[in-house]
Amino acid sequence: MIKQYLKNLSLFWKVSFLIVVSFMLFPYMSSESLIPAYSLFLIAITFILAFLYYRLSSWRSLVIVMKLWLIGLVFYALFSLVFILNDWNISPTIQITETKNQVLYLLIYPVRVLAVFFTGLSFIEVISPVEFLKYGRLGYHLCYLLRSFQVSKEQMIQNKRAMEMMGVIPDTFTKAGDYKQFIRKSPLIIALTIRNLMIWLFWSSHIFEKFKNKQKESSKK
Amino acid sequence: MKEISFNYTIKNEILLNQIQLSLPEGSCLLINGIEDKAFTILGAILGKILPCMDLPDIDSLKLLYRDYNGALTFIKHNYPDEVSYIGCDPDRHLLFSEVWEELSAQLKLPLSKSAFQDILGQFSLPVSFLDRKIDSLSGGEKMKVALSLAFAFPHEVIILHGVVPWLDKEGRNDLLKAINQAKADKKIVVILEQEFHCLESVIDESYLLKDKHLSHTDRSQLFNHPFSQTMLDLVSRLNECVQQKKKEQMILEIDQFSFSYGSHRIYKNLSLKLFENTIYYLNGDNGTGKSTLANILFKMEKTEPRKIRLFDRFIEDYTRLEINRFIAYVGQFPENQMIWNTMGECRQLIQSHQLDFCKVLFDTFFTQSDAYPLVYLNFAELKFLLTIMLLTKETRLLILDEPTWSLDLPGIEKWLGIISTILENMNISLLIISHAHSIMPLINAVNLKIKDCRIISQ
Repeated sequence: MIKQYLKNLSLFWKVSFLIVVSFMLFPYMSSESLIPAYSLFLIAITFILAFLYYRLSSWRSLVIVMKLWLIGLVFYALFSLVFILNDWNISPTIQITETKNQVLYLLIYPVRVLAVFFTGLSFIEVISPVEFLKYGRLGYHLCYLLRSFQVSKEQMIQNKRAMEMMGVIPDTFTKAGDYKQFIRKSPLIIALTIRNLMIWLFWSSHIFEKFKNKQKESSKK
Repeated sequence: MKEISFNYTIKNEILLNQIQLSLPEGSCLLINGIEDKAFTILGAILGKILPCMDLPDIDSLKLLYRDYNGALTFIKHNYPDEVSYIGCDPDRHLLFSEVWEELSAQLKLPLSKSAFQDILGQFSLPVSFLDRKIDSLSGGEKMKVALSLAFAFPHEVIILHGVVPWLDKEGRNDLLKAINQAKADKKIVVILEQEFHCLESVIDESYLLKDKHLSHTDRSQLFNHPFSQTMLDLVSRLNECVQQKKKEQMILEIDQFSFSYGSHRIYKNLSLKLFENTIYYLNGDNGTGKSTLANILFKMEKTEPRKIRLFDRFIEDYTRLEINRFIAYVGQFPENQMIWNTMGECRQLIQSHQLDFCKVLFDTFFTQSDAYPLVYLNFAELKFLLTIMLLTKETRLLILDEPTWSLDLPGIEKWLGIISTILENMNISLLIISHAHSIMPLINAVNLKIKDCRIISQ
């Protein structure tokens, strides 16, 4: 129901939603004293976005996103450790002096990334490439970009399924080794997706170009 | 009459030499040949897709697409500027998210259901299909949508490359009707195809692409002698091998199994028994759940417990890794399973393969250098490679999903050679999942047809 409602909204409202959320996720902070309050706000908004994505997609998709995010979190933890140990400044706008705020800032960063995932994926769920066509040259490019994104998402799911069927990645997570194997093989899923997407991109770009030219011709007439 | 005559060269090396095609109005032409790069490029040139002018400025991509960036020199050109073209992957032709968007955007149609109904109805797709997401369609259904579009365009020429293997019996009949209608409308249909036997009634002229040349062939020769002597010899070798072996042990038993995707019922009280050393041929229409069966065996779907037994245990008692030891699955889209990148990686792995005959098969069929990227392999080669790579000493069931898809005659010979060798060297059963291929009736296989949510053994 909610999906259909959002789908029927005009592109203007959908993009506006995207812009508003992006401002909420990446606000300008003038002082480090704002970090604790903002952290609470961010967690609340991430829950809302997660719920929205669940309603627009499925529980299964939500779990997949969470799993991918958790893998990223492992790598992120390693990077952030380097920042903390070297006492590097982590914010582009404020100088964080207190360690408590520094740790909090580093902790909310992956939450922000998760919120970005949910926002982007929810946007993809309610939008169609066809909506961009009326915006000329830029619209065509956006349309193709969006379709490429949809195909890459589908491709990634298929690669993951194929790898699960082959036993390359585990089907259940009962022991630490299963997580380790999944993390180790995750870059392979991405690499295969990119490799297979390259083939699709080449051919579809030509088909799309043909479509674009045809549209131009018919609008001239 | 349309005419086209051209050369296509890649870095001064001729790939297509003096290709000459005369296209009479209201005719259907068949082009057959080895399913290689030249064949693909010929289809794409006729489809006005190739050559591409600019390649991305990335070395690896330039290398990957180098053959598509050649020089096209016309000798004679009386060919329309716009043609409909459908290649062997329907996904490349579908540019939007949902079926109605595809039709309305590509055809610039007003949103009237009756207009959509006429277009989809040509390929027996119900009007409810309009709301379906492209991602949720099966390969065959995507191809039907792409074909509906191709025939709906007002273009004089329609080029179809490798579309038949995607279609079920009904789809093939619909294609014949669509071609006949196009011919009646004075359109020209050019079909580049390996599985052309079902098209006999609509083909007016046939050509063969061989050694860079396109030559006229005798139509009757092509349709009356579809199999080479080597193929027939290989089929009898295969049949003999299956006949000689004992078939006592049961590998798989499915008992009164039901399965649905939401409200869409796939199986109802389905029962099936598979024994060792037997070839099974699982067929049925698009969307009847042929490939789903493989997904279920690998526990990719949630199903009722205690209904499927692999040897003496139920499948839920196996881990997926254990199932992989006993069942090897070569899917419809081999690129998804190809977790290696170069021939060298595969060669290294094959050295430690448990089965010596697999090493021999690999050395016989894959002589490329170690640096050779696997993306350069064609569909058939990818499937052959996967088959060899996935077998283990304990494999008892080899599932081949659409193995003959886009295989040319030498490809079929290779495939028959590979499966004969496997059956000779192992106690293994084959489950071939396929729509229909003219070679299948010759193979001594147990015919399993999925109809009305059940499997009928014939």
